[in-house]
Amino acid sequence: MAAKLVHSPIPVPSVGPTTCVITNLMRTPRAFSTTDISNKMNTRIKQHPDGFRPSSTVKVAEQTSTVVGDEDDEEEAKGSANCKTVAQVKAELYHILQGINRGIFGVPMEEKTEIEDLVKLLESQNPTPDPTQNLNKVAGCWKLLYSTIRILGSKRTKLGLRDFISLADFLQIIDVVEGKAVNVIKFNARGLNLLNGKLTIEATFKVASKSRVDISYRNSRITPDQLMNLFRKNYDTLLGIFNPEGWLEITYVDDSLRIGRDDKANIFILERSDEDNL
Amino acid sequence: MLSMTSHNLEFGRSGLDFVACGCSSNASYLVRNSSKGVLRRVKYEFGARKWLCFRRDFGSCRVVSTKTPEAFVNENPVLMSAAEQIFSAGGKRMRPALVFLVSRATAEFVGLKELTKEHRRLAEIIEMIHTASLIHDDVLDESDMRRGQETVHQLYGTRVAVLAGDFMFAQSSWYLANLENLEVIKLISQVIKDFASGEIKQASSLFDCDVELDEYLIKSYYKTASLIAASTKGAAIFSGVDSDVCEHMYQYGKNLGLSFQVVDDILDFTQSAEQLGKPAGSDLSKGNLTAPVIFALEKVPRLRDIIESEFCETGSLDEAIELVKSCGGIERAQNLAKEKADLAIKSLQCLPQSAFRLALEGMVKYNLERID
Repeated sequence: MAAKLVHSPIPVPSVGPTTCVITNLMRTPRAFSTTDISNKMNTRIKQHPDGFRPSSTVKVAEQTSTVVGDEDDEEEAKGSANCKTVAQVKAELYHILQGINRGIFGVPMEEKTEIEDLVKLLESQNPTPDPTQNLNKVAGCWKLLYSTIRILGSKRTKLGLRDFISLADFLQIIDVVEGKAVNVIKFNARGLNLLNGKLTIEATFKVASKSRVDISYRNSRITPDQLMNLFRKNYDTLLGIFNPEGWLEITYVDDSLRIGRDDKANIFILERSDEDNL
Repeated sequence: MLSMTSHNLEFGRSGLDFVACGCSSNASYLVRNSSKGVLRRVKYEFGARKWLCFRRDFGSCRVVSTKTPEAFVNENPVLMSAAEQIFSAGGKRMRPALVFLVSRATAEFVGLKELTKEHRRLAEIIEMIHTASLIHDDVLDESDMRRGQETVHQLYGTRVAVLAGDFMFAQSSWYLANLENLEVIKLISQVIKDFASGEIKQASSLFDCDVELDEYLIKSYYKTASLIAASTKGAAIFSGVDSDVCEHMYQYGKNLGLSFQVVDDILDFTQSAEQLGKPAGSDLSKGNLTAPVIFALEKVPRLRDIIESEFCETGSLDEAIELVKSCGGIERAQNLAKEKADLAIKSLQCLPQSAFRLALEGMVKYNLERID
């Protein structure tokens, strides 16, 4: 069955090892006849004309159109997306995430959706479906690449994040022995090195399920004092934005990338970082 | 320091045309009131270059001058050409005109025949302060064009622009102090302080949809009306008239200034990019919420969402502009401009009837014509 698929005459654009497609097809509850797969897929597609855009991660493979000789470019593109390896999806994701400053100051709807679709693709290939049972996968230092958290409008103005202060790296250090997670948000004040510093938020976490942790805020501080003076009036606003309290579902983790979703429907994409400067 | 001359392309073309100035001694100016058919000539010479201003329908005032500001001549050739750049680029010279008109209109009270030296110096000082604020404004806004020509910092760099602005502020302070009138010194010094307050106020409320009309009016006062009010009151003070007349002149200048700013803000929405010399809705795109937007926000909740997203979606700025236009935000802002204009005209009632008082009323009406 697998061989038949691979040698299918229908052109499948630039695909590396198509392990993703095959394994997923094998996972689907529906059995496809090997002899007449094209027609079957055709019928399926006609029955679900708008069912192409994967709406949930598991169904992605079922509705794939990779083996169909449809002329529609869009369908082919979607199909080919499903045919990519994890490495390719990650590469695409990194590419989109370049230069958008973690998305914190706004991302157009189109890109936001693209990112979320790639995230879902990755989540459907999660090599660690039970991360809380393998906490060593999660331990250590991570750097935020993207989140759905936004600081815009008057909030951004009030926090001085428009011209005066810029946001440097966001780091997360997870200590699985102590059950602690420390978020560090670094700030740079233009031309005033005195004001470079960071906001440190300490929290503890407890395992709630094999993929979920409950997080409790413990304390926070801003260093140095000069930077704290700047934020003193708006400290609550700042904390409100970055407070990790709630739960976090770890939906994807491998050796270099981690994706999580929280109780406020936020998405977080982090990569492993060598930095460990607290 | 918002430029009142940012829309000068429109204002200038339709009638009020001022040509370069210079500052020096020996001034006299010319006023002709065509609606009354009375020609009264008073020549005003400003150094070596001619000042000309023509008022289309009801009067023209001609200010003749010859030299570039002495202050610059000896200091630094680069600063001098920077100064020439901005002084020769035109502009309406509205503020000096107001000083002269108010001086003349109030002079009637005390039988003053000629403009005093102080009046002339005051006009120079006001225009220098105004120009300095424009130069700095352009640096802050990173604008390329001003009055149809390249901005000082575009041509000479930021350093020269900052220095030229500083120099003009400093020089005008020196001239001001030499006028030796404490009331006027305090009046004008307050303006320089207000300029800064206005900029800071604006910067700290960008994209803040909760901004109220009062706050907007205070900010507009600091940035625009304060200088005009100081000009008109200062002119009255040097005419030697009663303090209540001086107060009325202050109110006239303040309300004229506010009306002017509101009209400017309306034009940012209603004029096309060619007319404005920059993309329409530039105030809005930077998060500077002006009268039309403030009124529109009361009616259209969707506008708030768009503004708070800082227009990150393509086409959202255009959508916002359309929303402001379609919900009557512009009309309400026009009413606000008219309201302030009426207050300005009311303040003129203490003045004796004269060609000059008519010209002052005309200034108010002319401003409103820009949005008719």
